[in-house]
Amino acid sequence: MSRELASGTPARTSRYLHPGGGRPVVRWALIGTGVVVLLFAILFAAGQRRFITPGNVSSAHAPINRRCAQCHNVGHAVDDLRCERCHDPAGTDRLRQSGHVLFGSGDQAKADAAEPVACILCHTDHLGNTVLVGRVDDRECGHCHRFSSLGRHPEFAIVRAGIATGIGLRFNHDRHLVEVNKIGGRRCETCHEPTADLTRFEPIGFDKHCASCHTTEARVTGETDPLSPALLVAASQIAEPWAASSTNVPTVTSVARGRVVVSRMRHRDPWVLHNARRMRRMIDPNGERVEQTALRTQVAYLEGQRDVEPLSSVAGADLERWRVALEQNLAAIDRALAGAPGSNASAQALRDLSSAMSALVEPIAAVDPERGASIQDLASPPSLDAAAVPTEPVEALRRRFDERKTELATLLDAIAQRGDAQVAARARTLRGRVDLLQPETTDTAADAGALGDALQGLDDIFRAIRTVPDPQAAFDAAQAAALRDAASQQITGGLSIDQFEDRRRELLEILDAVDRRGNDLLRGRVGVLRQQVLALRPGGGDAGLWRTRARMAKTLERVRLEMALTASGETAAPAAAAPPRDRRAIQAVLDRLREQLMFLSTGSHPGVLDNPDERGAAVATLTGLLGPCLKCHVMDSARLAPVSAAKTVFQHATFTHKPHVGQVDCLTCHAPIPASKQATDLVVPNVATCRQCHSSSRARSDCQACHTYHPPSVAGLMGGR
Amino acid sequence: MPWAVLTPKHAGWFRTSALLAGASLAIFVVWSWWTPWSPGRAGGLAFGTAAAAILYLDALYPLRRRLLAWPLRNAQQWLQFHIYAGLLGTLFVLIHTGFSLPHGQFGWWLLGLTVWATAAGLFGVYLQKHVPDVLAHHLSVEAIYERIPELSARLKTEADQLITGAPEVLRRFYLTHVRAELDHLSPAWSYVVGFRPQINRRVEVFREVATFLSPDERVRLNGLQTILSEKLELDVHYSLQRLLRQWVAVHVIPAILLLGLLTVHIVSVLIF
Repeated sequence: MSRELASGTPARTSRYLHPGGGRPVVRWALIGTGVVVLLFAILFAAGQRRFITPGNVSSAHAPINRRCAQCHNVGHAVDDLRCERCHDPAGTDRLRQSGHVLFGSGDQAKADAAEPVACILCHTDHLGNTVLVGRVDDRECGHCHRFSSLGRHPEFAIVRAGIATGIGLRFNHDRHLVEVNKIGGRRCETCHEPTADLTRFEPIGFDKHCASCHTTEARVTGETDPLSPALLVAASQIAEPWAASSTNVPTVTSVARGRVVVSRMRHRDPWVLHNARRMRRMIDPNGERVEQTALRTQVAYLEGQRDVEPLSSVAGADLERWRVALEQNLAAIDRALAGAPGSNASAQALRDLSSAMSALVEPIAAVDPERGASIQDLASPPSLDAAAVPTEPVEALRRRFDERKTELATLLDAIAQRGDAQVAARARTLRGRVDLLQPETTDTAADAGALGDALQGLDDIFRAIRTVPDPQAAFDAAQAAALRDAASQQITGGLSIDQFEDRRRELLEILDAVDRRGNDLLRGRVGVLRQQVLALRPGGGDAGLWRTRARMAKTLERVRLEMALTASGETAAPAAAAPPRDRRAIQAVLDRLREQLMFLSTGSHPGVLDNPDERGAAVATLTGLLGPCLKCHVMDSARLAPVSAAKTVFQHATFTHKPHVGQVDCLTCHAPIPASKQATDLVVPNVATCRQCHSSSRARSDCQACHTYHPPSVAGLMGGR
Repeated sequence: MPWAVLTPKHAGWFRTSALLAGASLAIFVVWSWWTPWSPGRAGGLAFGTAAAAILYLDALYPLRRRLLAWPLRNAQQWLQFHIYAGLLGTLFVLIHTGFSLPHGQFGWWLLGLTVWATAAGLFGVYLQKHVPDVLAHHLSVEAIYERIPELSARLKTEADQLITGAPEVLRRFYLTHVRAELDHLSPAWSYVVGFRPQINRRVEVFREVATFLSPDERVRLNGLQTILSEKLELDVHYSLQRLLRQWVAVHVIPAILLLGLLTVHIVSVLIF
């Protein structure tokens, strides 16, 4: 029996067979996904963040792993302030782009104008706990520097300049190597002794390295030319301990025509230094004052940075009071900035600061009523009253303008005659611009601004002159710079330097008193006020006030952040404002600065010499007295230039000798040393020398091998590496 | 594998997508050479946003019949968009991550689901091209999926009737070698790759049995062989059509879960 039924169907289709029955799947998938999303929302609301983290944070951030608010500002991504809360608790701006620019250029105006760069742009976290957040890709550097490899690294600035400056000494390597060979010394190592860790060299010191050849019986060889004794003060007239013993004083011998010769002086001879300092005060009083102010400013700033406590250690109630005070200060500054141009903004800022300090009276009085009353008096000096500032008549303004213009023109003519062709050309250009200025009494601000710009343009010329190895040229340049500063003061219409510094000093004294007598909680507030005072620049006008405002606004943000974190229960906080390494660096710089300040604070203060003849005589006496010193030292204005023989050559790079000295001879990199006849000779290697070893297949050649974006410390930010 | 299924049916969609993919890769290469690549930076963020937008648009495919508008004016264009945009979206996800592996569980889930949904989608495309062709051109029977069990049972009844009155040799052969095959459907994954050799191997034994039967009984045996062949082809039908239906779940469930987690990801990025 055969099968009867035919299989299948005769007509067949080649169309797609669309699957059916998908709807229940979609429905259940939607329900399941909804449940999952809801679960995430519930966990998030309950504070669980691990489910949504894109990855573990680096091991350095492990203590704050999944404590999102430590870094993230909800709705505003990662907040730089939160990074700084732990990494720069003192709020120095060291880690910001402005700090980087200031560290690299030393130019505050440039730093202020720098575009901010968010921390996370270079430091990306959540890439796993083995990733080093601090390591930055070279290409990040290339965005601003236009190169990101050693192969395209431009020549070192010092090599481009072609001359080493700022050493403050005359020194002849050629001659010294010959002498070292005579006594059988170990060439370079005779003077350049490596430190124990081999990373650098011990500082060169006169007593240790120079005295054996340059002194006889502990007295510097040589004597001065015949001097006029009129400006010299005898040891018997000096009431200082060292002057009591005649062995501490050099020999002063009378010679013909009433002149004297000084001999047998010691290195850093106190009598010579006393007289030199005295004459400097007669010749160049502003120079010392400016130097002292700069030193005091640095000392006060560094002390503040060393002692400041992190905001996290300030009680909530104090933070709230601080916030209110800051908001009031900001409002006051805004009022000052909203005023008319040339409204004496510095004086206004000082007035506002006084008001701010008045707010401190109450808490201080609670600690020490007597001190509180005295601060109340100091905080409102009558000299700051705007009504007390007399308004100059138009004629006086015009006359003063003409005088300054003439001074400037004379100065520029002098520079044009002394400088090289390039400097002279620039001086002549500026001279032309000055000539065009007219004292429009109806709109003095515009011309004053133009004249101010012309004065700023002189900086380039002064910088060029300083590179000329001629002490007299440097002296002239320093005098011209002081004159420029004075003119700038008067043009911008601010307080005079003296008035300004007096006000500043008063305020700093008040703050120091608060610092000494107040409790810990006040220190942070005092620190902020001190920063404001120190940030003021004579003649800075609104620019200084804007800087102060920015700094104050940032402090206010920090206070608000701290309050917000405290309110949300985020208690993880840095233990100290400055890490131990930074504190050590700050302390080292502080010790050095205090020593310099102490030196400037001693000695007598004679009157200023206004008569050009008398000034000329004083300059001649000073130069003559320092004659034996000038065999090695150089003059910087009316003083011996500070000596920095161990100055860091590569200011913007980290260099350690350790891996280098073990592999190559000193002369491999410092080839010109045996023929060097001046301290200003360039003896550092160029970038091509570095490239010989630092390449992709040999030694590290990435940016971070030598450079650090952030200044290594607060002291580093101030150039005190 | 029949390589013909890889040939794009709509060359325009393929060319456009390939062009976009190439351009995107070129942008990524140049950009990541110029600056470090990170999902959170401009480049990574741009591709991440584009990927998210594409994935959300792709998810509108089930609503295609209600969203027929330019440039997707018919279901076919919607399907092409679903396929090619999905592939581009996955590429953008990879570019967004900088072709690096995730660093956390959530990242792994996102990337894993993306890859899974895409791979399942591509497998679906293959099935949609391959299975209808097989069912239409390589099988002698055609059956609706839901009726296959009924057809199979009918074949068994037919076989039982056919064997009634058959000699002992044929009956014993039927009971030991054929009836068990007709008892129930036997779907197999291997039918996706090929089925003809398996069917031929199963019916090979009929040729050996035929030598022991008279010519009349051989006719009965041939009928039995035809029934078994049809049953085996029904097995193939059942296997392939069932695969077409199951594949949807394999693609849709992870795709919807991916969209949910993608939403969580976007919200968390916006928050933090």
